[in-house]
Amino acid sequence: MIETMDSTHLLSWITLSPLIGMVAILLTPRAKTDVIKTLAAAFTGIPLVLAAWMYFAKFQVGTAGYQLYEVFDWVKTFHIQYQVGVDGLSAPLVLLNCLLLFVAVFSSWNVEKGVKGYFVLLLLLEVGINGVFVSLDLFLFYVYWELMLLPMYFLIGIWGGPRREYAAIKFFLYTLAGSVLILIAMVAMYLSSSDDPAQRTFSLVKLAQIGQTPIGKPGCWASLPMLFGMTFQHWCFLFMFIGFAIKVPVFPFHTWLPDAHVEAPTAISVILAGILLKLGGYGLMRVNMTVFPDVMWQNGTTTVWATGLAVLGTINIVYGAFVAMAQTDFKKLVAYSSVAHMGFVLLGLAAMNPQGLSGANLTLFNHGTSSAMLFLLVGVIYDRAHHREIAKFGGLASHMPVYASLAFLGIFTSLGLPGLAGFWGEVLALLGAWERYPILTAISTIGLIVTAAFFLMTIRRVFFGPAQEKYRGFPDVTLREWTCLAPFGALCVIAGVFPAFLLNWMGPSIQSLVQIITPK
Amino acid sequence: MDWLAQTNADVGRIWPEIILSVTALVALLSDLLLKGRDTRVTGWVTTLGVVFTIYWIARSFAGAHGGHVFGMMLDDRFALFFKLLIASGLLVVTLLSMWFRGFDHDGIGEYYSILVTAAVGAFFLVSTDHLLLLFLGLETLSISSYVLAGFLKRDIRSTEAAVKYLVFGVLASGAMLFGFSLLYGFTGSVRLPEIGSAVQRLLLSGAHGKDFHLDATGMGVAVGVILSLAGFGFKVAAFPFHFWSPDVYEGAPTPVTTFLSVVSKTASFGMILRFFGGVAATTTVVPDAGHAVVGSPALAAVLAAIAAMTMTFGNVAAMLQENAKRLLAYSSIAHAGYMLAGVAAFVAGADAIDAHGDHYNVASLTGAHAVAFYLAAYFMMNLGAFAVVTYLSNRWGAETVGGWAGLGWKSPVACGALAVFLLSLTGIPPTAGFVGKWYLLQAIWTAPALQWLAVLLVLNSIVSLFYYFRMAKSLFFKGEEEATASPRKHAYAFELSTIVVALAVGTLWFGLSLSWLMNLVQSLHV
Repeated sequence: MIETMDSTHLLSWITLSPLIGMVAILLTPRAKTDVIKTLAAAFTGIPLVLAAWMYFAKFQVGTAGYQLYEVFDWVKTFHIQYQVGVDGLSAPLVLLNCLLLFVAVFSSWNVEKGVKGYFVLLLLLEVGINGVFVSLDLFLFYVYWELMLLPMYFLIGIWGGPRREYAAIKFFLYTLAGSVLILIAMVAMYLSSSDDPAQRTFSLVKLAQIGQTPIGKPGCWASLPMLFGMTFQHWCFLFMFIGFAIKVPVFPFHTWLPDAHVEAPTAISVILAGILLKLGGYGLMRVNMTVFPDVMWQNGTTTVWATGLAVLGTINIVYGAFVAMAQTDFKKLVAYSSVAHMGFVLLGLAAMNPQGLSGANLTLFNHGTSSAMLFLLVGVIYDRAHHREIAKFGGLASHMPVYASLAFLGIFTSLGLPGLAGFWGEVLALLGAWERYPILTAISTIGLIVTAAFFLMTIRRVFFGPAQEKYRGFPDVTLREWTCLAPFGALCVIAGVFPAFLLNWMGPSIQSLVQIITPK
Repeated sequence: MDWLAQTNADVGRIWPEIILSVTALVALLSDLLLKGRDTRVTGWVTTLGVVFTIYWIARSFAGAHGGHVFGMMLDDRFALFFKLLIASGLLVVTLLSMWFRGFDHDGIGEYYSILVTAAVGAFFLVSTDHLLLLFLGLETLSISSYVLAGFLKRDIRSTEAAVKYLVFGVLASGAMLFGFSLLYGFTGSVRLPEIGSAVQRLLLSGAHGKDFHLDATGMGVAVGVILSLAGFGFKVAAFPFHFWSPDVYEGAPTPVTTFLSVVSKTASFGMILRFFGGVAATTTVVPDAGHAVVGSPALAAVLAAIAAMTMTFGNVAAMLQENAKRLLAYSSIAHAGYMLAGVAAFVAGADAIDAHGDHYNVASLTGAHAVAFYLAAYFMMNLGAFAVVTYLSNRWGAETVGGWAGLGWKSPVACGALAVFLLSLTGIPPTAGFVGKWYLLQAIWTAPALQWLAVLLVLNSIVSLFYYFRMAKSLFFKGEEEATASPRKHAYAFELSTIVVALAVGTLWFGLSLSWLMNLVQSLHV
């Protein structure tokens, strides 16, 4: 399953190189803001180049197992290892994260308050996110998972909008509540991995083997305490699920998201929607579905847990879309549309077939580009108008034609127009889900229609109608904004016309996941 | 071996205590010669003595033989580990005292001597299994602490703190001493292991530790243990024996508060582990079952209940605090709760299943190891937090969370380090506090019937986030222009920053490279 050790330590370099930038920035005097920004750009650029190299050159397309694998002992007495590797599920997300962070530096170029602290925290955030995607040891996974919390808390709380303090602590409390459940499940999994303390493990690879062994056969979970009528696996699944669900966010754990998005500065919203939400979906696949496959699939059929996941996905889609429709704030609208999109991920995961999982993974990546683009676009207009009220805009297309056309691209990608990136994920997720939950899938399509409706209404209200005098002098998209928007715009088109550059990479890993959950 | 050679050999094993006692005397003498003119010289003399003590403890590790010294003290790695923590804490507190602005106007000549004497008491406390010496050590530590708490003679709050501490302390000592006398009366011994065997016979005679008899003698022992627990609970400020701590912590000079919350608490937990290690966790082989029954479910349940109340109360009360020292006082009540949960796990032993599928207890030192590790982490993060409080009150004259508004931008190094300590106190990686909490969780989870306590512990961590990060919020979320405090001169900013940064690096270091500390802790035997 695992190739030989990667002697170049490529993944470690991708993950940890921003730390060098952090130290460099910390040693730079506070007043030299240009130097600090250049350093930040350089040290998010390095991982981006390395990640692109990893994705397009080093990654062996067509293999399912973990690649670019590295391992060494961290704490021997507790069998904690520094263990990293990527497969088709994590590699695209690493690339996406590096791209988002690089763009985030440029979109934050105008930051004035506490420049040094801002970019130090941004680099720390990149370390945490990349670390989660590459770690194959649960302990390491958890350390990286929590490492993201503090920078995000400060980035929202210090550089955010008027209600930033409330939004920051809400984000922190919600996420920590989820994290501690993950921690409990992690301790329980470690202790149940073997009766012999010398054989216990945190390795996700080994835990997956243990979890996939049928109960009663040698090598399955060692001790399985039943609590309140639920088995050990179900409890761990539940705790891990809530931890990840808060990140996704799954209804009813989503209420931190609109607050955080609205208050966060543009670049942080981009990161939040673009990649932080993806950690939840990724965690569900990497831990829940891989280590506890029989919770969702038993005796050749879906369990009530899988159906529950599908129901939650449907609620996310329909509820998210309707609430988005009711928003008057442009940014909040985009935030709730993210809730709806994440519903397709859940629905795809619940389907547990190749189409569904492909749809979920494509949505993870493509929502990363389209929502990042939308938040950047909202940032562009907010910088000029200093408000985000949809009702107060109108006729912007005539003043800012380039901006308008870029916005159309982002919005049409987001509402799933065929030929653009968003379409593939949604259609595959629905296709996969139709096989298992026809009724829920039918209900979900309501969300699809509502999404199209509110996005089209937004286009009409913001860009069409009579040109307003007060927006006349607005400059169109500047060069800096172009550089931020262009990569996402390009990806929206490329991934729409040519999704193979994602699907071929993901395919084998998805097939193997399907094999694990629904063995023939 | 004749008695002279024996005495010689024994004296060689208590050098740390001797060096520290001499340091106390020299500090007194130095103050006498200087006639109270320059207390800083006395401070440096003390520092030198403490550093020498630390060096001696460190080099004693290899030679510890685990046996008795003078028939009353134990020379084992467990004692040395705790002495190392105590002496290192004393070093930091000494340095903080030298640079604490509040001491600049009061003559504090004899302060250092008393501080060191308290630590000598703590040394004896953690290295004895004899109830009499245990009590003597505890009283040396306590009486010195009462004096230390009142050292800001012109500050009425400091005086109030000293009196309050004294009154409650004497009461607790009395209860504990009565408990000891009951233990002696019913078991006929003042040695912990012998008391332990007697307790085991009396209370836990049933196989598998399930059906124990509680006759009059057993009742007497149980009352003795509970009364002793009251004394211990007072020292570590466990609910419901915590009443003194917020007022004392707030009123006492900040370095003394630091000493009470870190050094004194560390020593007390050393004593608690020793006591329950002797009284509860003695191995008895039950003939018919053929395996060892270890641990006392009843005692574990009592300790778990106290731990649960302590952590919950500490965290909830801390949310309401405005004064930073008071907030940290309640937070250290909560941390005492976490560690008591580890003690409960230690006392409960671990659950195992024998060949017939029956559950039984096995000896588990994991609980004790987890507490020891947590203490090392707590040592760094709490010392660090108090050092930052000292720094901010020196430099900006602000001791309230609200008064700290915007100071993060003016003192970025100290406040950035505080963020690290707060992370660690909350138990978030990559810090020592997280590893400590994880270790505790693991110990509690494996103990029989204590899983609920593990869940409660992590829920408490979420609550604690709220008030810890209120500090960070005030320091950083308010803009620089909102800072109302004005800078003061002679704040020893550089000296204090050095301590703070060193402790922050330690907190991160033991969160990332934990093998060394883990191995050290696992080599301890109670």
